Amino acid sequence: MLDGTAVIRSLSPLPLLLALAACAQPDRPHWPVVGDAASGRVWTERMGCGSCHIIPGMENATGLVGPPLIHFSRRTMVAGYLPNTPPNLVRWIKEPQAVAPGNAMPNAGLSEGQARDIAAYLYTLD
Amino acid sequence: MLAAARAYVAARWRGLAGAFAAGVAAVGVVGGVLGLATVAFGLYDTTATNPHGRVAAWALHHTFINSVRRRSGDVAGPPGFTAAQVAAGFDQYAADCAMCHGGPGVDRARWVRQLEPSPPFVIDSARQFTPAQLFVILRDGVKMSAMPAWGETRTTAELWNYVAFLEALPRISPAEYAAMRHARDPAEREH
Ligand code: HEC
Ligand code: HEC
Repeated sequence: MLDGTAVIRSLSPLPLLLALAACAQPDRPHWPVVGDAASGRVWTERMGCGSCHIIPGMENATGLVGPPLIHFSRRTMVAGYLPNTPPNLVRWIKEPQAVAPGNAMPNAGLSEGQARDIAAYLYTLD
Repeated sequence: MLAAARAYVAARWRGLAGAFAAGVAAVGVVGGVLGLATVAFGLYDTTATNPHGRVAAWALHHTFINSVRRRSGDVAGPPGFTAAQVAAGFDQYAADCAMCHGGPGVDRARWVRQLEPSPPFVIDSARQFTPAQLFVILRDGVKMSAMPAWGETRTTAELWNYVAFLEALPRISPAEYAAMRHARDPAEREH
């Protein structure tokens, strides 16, 4: 006869082990999701970001005016000015001219929601 | 005996080849019907709010690049450009192109983001295309995109002015670009 509680007890380390495995994985994005990455991808395409930036996985995004948009889930700084947190990345995307006046990346009049979606998309890139 | 075997094998092959040809024809017919149905019933989404898929985006863009390469062979680019050409080119660019292509530190017009494909910033286009290729892009435009052909309404000298400006653009800082825009039109100090 199978004892239900014994089965559960034997399985109980499983969540713990899974959690440990997740922690051990170094490339895991350590930011909570701030927006909708799928719409962020559409906005990134539409805003012409790829004519100034290389963006992995995006066709025709081969620009070399600014740095490649890679490794955002593990990056320390945004544009070398702001610590890489979701609010700071959103701020840069919305108004780069306010953060670094006179740099080549224009303020594009994005809404907070659009900028959040783009940030969520950037955090999915490696 | 051997001849009979050969005849049998040949017949088998003819049978297989026939079946293969019939299969290809069937696929062709089905494909054709699907294609026609796509056109007739509006199955392909042509709305600009829905960006091209990856395959379409790649195919369109690379077709454009290779077409330009192929068609620019007999355009002789000038050996260099004068400062006067760059200045004239900037003036023309500000009037004809900046709304779609922006500039260093300056965004495109707001409505342009809803074009599909969306016009790229052209700050480093001169690294991707030779002057002769840029000339062909400007003269003949880009089909299935919003990029017009300018050869009809601009003189050859004016077309080269645009190219002169595009060639200079990678070395123009956002501050210099802002000063140029301000000198051209004092109202344009801010975007
Ligand atoms: C006209 C060219 C241009 C366009 C268009 C542009 N950028 Fe940038 N971007 C730059 C430049 C130049 C920098 C570097 C600025 C600096 O470090 O001062 C930059 C920096 C960045 C950074 C920081 C990069 C890093 O390595 O820390 C991010 C993120 C970024 N851009 C995202 C975007 C997004 C998203 C878009 C589209 C909404 C966009 N950019 C459009 C030119 C551009
Ligand atoms: C109505 C919007 C519009 C206007 C105005 C316009 N363009 Fe374009 N242009 C486009 C679009 C869209 C493309 C992208 C074509 C493609 O890749 O399929 C493009 C592509 C280009 C390219 C190729 C860029 C690259 O790196 O792939 C250059 C260079 C260019 N345009 C220059 C100009 C110049 C110079 C003018 C002014 C004389 C101009 N354009 C006016 C929409 C426009």
